[in-house]
Amino acid sequence: MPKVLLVDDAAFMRMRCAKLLTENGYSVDEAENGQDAVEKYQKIKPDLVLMDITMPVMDGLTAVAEIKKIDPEAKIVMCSALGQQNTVMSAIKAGAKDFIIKPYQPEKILSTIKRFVG
Amino acid sequence: MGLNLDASPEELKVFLEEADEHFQTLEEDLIRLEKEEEFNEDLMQEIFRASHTLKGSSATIGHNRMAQLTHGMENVLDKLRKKQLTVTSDLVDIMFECLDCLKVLRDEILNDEESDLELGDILGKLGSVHDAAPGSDSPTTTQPAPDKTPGKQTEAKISIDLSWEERDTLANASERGLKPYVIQLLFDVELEMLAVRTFVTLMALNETGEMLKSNPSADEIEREQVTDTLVMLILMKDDEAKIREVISTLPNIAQYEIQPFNDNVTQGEVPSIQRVEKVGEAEAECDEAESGDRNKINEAKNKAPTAAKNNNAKKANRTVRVDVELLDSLMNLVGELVIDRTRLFQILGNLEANYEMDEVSQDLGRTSVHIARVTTQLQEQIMKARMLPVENLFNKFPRMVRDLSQKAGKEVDFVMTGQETELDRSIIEEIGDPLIHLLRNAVDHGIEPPDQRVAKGKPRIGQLKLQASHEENHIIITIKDDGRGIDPEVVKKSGVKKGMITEEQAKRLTDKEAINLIFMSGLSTVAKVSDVSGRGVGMDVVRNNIEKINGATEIDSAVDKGTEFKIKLPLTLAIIRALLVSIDKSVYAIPLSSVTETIRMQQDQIEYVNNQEVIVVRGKVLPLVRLKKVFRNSYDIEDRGKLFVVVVNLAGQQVGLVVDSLVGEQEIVIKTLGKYIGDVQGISGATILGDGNVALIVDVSNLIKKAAS
Repeated sequence: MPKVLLVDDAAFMRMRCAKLLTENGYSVDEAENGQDAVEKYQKIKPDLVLMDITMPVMDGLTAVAEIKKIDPEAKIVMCSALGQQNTVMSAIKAGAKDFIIKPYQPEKILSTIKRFVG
Repeated sequence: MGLNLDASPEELKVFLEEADEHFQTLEEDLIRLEKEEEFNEDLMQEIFRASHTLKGSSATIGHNRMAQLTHGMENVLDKLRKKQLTVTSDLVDIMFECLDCLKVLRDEILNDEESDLELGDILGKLGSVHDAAPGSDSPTTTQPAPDKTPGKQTEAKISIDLSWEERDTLANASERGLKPYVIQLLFDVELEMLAVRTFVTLMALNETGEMLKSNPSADEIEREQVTDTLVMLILMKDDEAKIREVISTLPNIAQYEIQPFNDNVTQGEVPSIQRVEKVGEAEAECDEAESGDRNKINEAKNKAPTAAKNNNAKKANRTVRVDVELLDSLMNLVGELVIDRTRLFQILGNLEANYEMDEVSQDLGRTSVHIARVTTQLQEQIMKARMLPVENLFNKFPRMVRDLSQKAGKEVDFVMTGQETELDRSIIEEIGDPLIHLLRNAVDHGIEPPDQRVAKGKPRIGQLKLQASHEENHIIITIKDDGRGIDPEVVKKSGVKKGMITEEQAKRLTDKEAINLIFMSGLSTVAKVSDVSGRGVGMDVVRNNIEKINGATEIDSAVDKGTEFKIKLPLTLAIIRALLVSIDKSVYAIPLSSVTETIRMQQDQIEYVNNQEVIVVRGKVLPLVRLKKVFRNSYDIEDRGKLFVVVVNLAGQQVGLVVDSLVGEQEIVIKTLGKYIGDVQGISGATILGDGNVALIVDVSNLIKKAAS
């Protein structure tokens, strides 16, 4: 089962997304901020990271850079709200593979994840 | 009309909990932001995050109005964050108005019904604040639509300008076994974040080979100079099938074309790609792919339920919601048990006294002790279950104080401590209004306008403190300001003027007693009635409300130093400790919270002042109330030589209650007298004693008032 690390500070968003992913055969781990994500990434070695941008403690952009330092091959998809275009662009330059725009459409999330982890 | 939200009940619960947290963050942080002189970046970020998360979550569940409002808030907050706007109280006002609207929108979810709240006004305010700020190409407004001038598309050819170096690379490509291809991509129309999508696509294709040139270039894309086309010249080992494979996995690409690049050409021109308005084939393909996906999703859904269930079980919360009524009835039942516990001991005592204890009665004794212990624990646990931190109540005060002080033109530093202190929820419900009233008074009458304060040599900003703390079996709530204080002379004058006391009485009043006059109904010392307070109703209501729940208020004030209100509250309403006394062989209960001491004294120690019986205790004159006279209407005062006096104290007033004898101290369960009997002067309720008899509970505040008049 492919492992997805879900990073979002809003428990509601994690809950909803985790439900969708587990129902579709992914194993889901959750992190509630960037720092938590970096730590969990090392422990879990997920196949894909879904990374929120605006978070306390460590934001998504910093977390992408940190994770890339640990694993240059890391597959990270940014979860962005409209209007965070510049940040997403920076994240892509820092090594994130793709992005999804909130509010999520279930098909979009699934098809994006599928592209990277099958 | 239902809201038709796209979320399960559990999801909504999490959403609502989080929303409340964010509301709280916004409320607290906005007040801090306004107060702090230096711009606090971390605080600003936290505020921004709260509204940003709210926006995302509300859009996800499909609460469009909430998403719309939070979006507007975020726009303004972003300006603040980037220092393109400064924090003004007008702006904070608007934000608070937003917060109020958000709460209404939250309630829509609770009621599953759309409210009649109109967002137009507040959105307009947000919009004009936002537009007034410099650099208002908002990051959150939709980006300028991609250049759809058909020029590029109708042009039959596109040209690729190559530099000399690039031409060199191109010329040498075949030697390195690389073939050049021109890839032309057309993105979906009206794509959100087109620039990023273009960039991601560029990056993905870059991995298939060596990119020589792209139009727009990476730099241009970063600067958001994008159209809905992307042209790339790429050198690669593999043939175009590889490119097709990669492109097929990329999203949002409407059409594409791959052409081998003529390697003899140094200044290349290739036919340009045309957007086909309705591509039947492509769409059919698309539909197929999508429905295929959907089938898979359904399949997975059918496969997954066990996994999902396990997951849910793991995450199951360790708390449950319980109806308050259930807690009340549990408390009632425990109350009955507490009565029986007392009875059981009494029976046991009789048994031991009158019969020889055999094996069986000893067994009964042990079991009784055990039941008693369990009952005590049960009582404690249920009381705990009814406890809530006062935080829930206190939370709304900072905002209120801010609004009030702004309205009154005061500068107030409001500090709260001890929010974690826990109280029975029914008490929390009862003290809300009195606390609001006292805080209002403090802002409106207590704290002086800044200029007056400066003139008095006080700091410009007034201090207002709200504190909750635990003290033995009570909770103490204090409200303290450093304002102008209460002038006893003014209160006396006002009391005389309103005919509440005679001038004679006024002269005899101590300062403390005079200040306590403010608790009498109809007394207001404020010359002008304000919007906020001073209508002369209030302080008596405050005191009555608090005494109703067996609490007590104390006031301490000094002119120009400030005023302090101290509210003493019981931990629970249902069970109290009481001193049992007997009068004419029937037992009465006096709430222990108001008992200061008991005194045994001789009849001849009684003195008379204005025909009123008094005693002198440690130099202080204490009026006496003979309970026998009050409750039994018996005037014959037997001269038994000695008598017992229970000294009770409420709000600084002391009275000695004369009783026949003291019975003991005991936990009692308060029962109301019921509708048939109704209100009885001097009696606040009844309780059942260990021997099954009913004891009346003495209403101390009523008796003190009587003694005073």
